[in-house]
Amino acid sequence: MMTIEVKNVSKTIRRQPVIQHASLSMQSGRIYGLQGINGSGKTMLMRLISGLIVPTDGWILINGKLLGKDLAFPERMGLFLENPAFLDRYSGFHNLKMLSSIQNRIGDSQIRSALDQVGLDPFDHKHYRKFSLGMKQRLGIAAAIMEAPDLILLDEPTNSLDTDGIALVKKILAAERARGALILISCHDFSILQEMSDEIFVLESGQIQKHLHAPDFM
Amino acid sequence: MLCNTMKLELKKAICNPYFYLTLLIGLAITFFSLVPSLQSYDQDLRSHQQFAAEFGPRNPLMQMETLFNHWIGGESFTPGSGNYFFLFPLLATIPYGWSYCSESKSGYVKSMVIRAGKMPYYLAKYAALFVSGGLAVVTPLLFNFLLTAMFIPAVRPDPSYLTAYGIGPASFLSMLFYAHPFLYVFAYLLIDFLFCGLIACLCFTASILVKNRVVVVLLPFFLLLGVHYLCYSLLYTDPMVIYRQCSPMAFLNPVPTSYDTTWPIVLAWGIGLFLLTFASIVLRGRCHELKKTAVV
Repeated sequence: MMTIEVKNVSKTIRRQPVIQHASLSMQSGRIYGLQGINGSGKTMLMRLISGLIVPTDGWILINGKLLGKDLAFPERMGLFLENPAFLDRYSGFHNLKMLSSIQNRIGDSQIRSALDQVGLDPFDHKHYRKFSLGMKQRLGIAAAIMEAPDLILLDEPTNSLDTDGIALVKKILAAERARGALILISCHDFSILQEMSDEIFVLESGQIQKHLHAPDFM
Repeated sequence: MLCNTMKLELKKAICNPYFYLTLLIGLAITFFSLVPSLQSYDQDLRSHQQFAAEFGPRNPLMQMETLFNHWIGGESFTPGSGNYFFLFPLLATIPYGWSYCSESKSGYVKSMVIRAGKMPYYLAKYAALFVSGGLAVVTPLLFNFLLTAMFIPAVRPDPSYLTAYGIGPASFLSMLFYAHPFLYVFAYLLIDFLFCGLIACLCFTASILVKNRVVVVLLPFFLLLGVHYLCYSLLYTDPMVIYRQCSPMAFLNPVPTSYDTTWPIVLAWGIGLFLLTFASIVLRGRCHELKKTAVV
């Protein structure tokens, strides 16, 4: 069971406030959506929750532990932020194998299964540099889910995906929710978030303007 | 986690086309320096034979011809030797110097740090840079030494002929050269390995300031070239004075080409480079926020 408490968090970069007094709480087995136009602070809020940057004010608690002090990053986190980034000269499988070798939690079969889940051929030897945008996006999602993380952060996961790809993402997220993962996704398209999320936070100029629950936005 | 990250980074550093290419260039330079070196050995042998024919069968001058002044690190008369000890900072940085800059730009760093942690990732990157830089420069030197040893006997150098070896009484590690020449070669290979490792790590420091990976790879070379130029244009101005060699581009050559260096100079450079590069790793690991990723 994972809980995340974001309490009155603000972030200022080069004297510009990018997140202002954001507060939200999340728990396992649910999908949370972040909605807002470009530059509204969705990615920055994800960076704060992932521990990649630290808040200027406020605090983030992961299972009651203070992020940035008690722990540097949330444990067992799958992250897909902005653009998928992998090593050009390796295949999709090899890239995932290298990343998974750091924590050594999963074997080849789980990596192949993650690739299969996102619709990529696990035995394809094609180098990452030859992947299409959609394939890169799918590999990024596979990297985020392959280690069966407790927390999954996906920033615009449906970018560059065709309708089949978007349907696949929905299916994967539903399965991950059923497994008990806490999922936070950001998307500028409200209709996609509506279909996937249990709760939606609407951001505007770095502030959470609305907090919608599933029946309200269906 | 640190161990796994270290293994991964080392694999990325050693099993990459840039490392192989650099190794190939290094091996080619050192291999082609062997040919003129063997020719010169052959000519010298012939002249000694003529000398022996005129003055008697026992020829003490034979002591001048040894493996230790014909391998690439013992001679300075072949173009291969000159080129190698001019280009070595580049050979140290090409294999993996670009990696942090490239990973930081693409956003790959994020995938690494959330799994390994910031400090283990940066430490592993440091170790991989260090090892790749050291190996890329020292492997061709070792190859040349072994190849030369197949043709030229490892006769122990005689101090009576010190002009033939280029290593005088005031030279760095000269006692070792005349007493235990193999140890001298090993010591120099070790010093070169350490320095080239540190020079490769300078790329990490450069990556903090510069975001272009070509510039990052070239910067340590031009920095050392600048130091070399400053030494020769500002310090070594009086031809009547015997100076101490302060330029790493000169003192990392096992045979001194102009001035001799000393332990304090070598240590000061080594410690300085280590502190500069390691401090940038620690600062990056402790303070850096992964704010933005360039679109690739």
